Amino acid sequence: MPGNRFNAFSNHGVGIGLRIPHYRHIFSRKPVVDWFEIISENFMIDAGRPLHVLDQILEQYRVVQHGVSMYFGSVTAPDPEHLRRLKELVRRTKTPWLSDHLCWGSVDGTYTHDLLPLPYTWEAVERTVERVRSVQDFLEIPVAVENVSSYAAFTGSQMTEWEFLTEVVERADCGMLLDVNNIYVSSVNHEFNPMDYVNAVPAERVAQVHIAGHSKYEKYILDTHDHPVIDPVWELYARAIERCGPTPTLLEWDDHIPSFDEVHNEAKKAERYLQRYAGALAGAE
Amino acid sequence: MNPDEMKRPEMSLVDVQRAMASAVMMPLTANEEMRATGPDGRAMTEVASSFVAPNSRLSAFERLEIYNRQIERLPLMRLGIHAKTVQNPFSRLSAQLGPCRGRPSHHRQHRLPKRVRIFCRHFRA
Repeated sequence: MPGNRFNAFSNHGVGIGLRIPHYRHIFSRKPVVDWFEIISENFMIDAGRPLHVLDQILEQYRVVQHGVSMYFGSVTAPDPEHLRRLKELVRRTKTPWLSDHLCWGSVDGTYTHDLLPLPYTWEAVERTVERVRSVQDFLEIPVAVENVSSYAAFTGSQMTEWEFLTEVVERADCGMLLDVNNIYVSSVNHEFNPMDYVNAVPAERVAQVHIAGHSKYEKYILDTHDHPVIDPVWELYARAIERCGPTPTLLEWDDHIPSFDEVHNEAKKAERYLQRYAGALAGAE
Repeated sequence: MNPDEMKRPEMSLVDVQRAMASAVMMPLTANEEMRATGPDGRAMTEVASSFVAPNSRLSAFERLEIYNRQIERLPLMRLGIHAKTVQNPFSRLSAQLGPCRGRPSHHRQHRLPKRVRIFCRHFRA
């Protein structure tokens, strides 16, 4: 059986993010795409063109929801109205699983509008686990938490990022959205071996993989999603697939978005790694 | 790992989040750098070092400054608009998002937080 219980035992293949500059191409050419990932917050409204577009997409394509404002690690509890709207959208899209980031972004009612890293402490593990569990229970579908890229580390951290991620997903009994580009970005910014990270995460909990490009500056790397995927990230992806098996994969391209075909072709490069895995599996039988 | 055997961090989670939010949401200087002193008059090098670890290339201050630049370059922050409003792409907010419609310079645009870069897609199309 493909997949695991964190992605509803599905093998979605390789998808891309649904972005407005591609709408015309999608509706006029109806390209074959395994699936689209949508940003939940862009469709959590009562009516209007975004929902009309979404309904048209849902008629022809599989859609998986990805959120950017759950802030599982914030000390402040999630807004019940936000959760209600999210559940409404889940019913509309029938997303088999839903993902958001393992980060924080608001405190005392103030929103930073950023995906900020957590200190890797036991207190943060407990707080985050509690949040993930309550969200998962409320939404009644599998939730996957995504590792974020980061530029700062905390003096108070008690474990590595991958140990923290593992503690959270195992205690919350949730899935993981493994972003191999984020691992690469953070590995450069925090000076660790990214392969150690990929080798350490519980493979059986990986519901989905993200791939993306980034921008390199003199002293650090920024997670910009505006370039093709670089070879070291493909190497991490190959290792992730080797460990996790065929896993729904999504290319993120959010800035300076090129043509639909260019984005789709970049995403489809992932298929060679998925096929290589399938070939190796067949050879072993 | 046994949590009981580990040294407890000096700052609680909420204290770290308050300190970081306060630092990264400060207005930048005219040169788009993080301010040398915080709202309480403390040196930001000291504040940053109290909870951010340096690496071999960047000081604690410089690492915090990356987030300060990302966040404070947001037009949303300057307008004092909060996440709930941002979630509705057809709210009156769209009329106030001028800087997102155009093309900020390459470098500036990259430093917008991912969450907002994605949101801004709606206003460019």
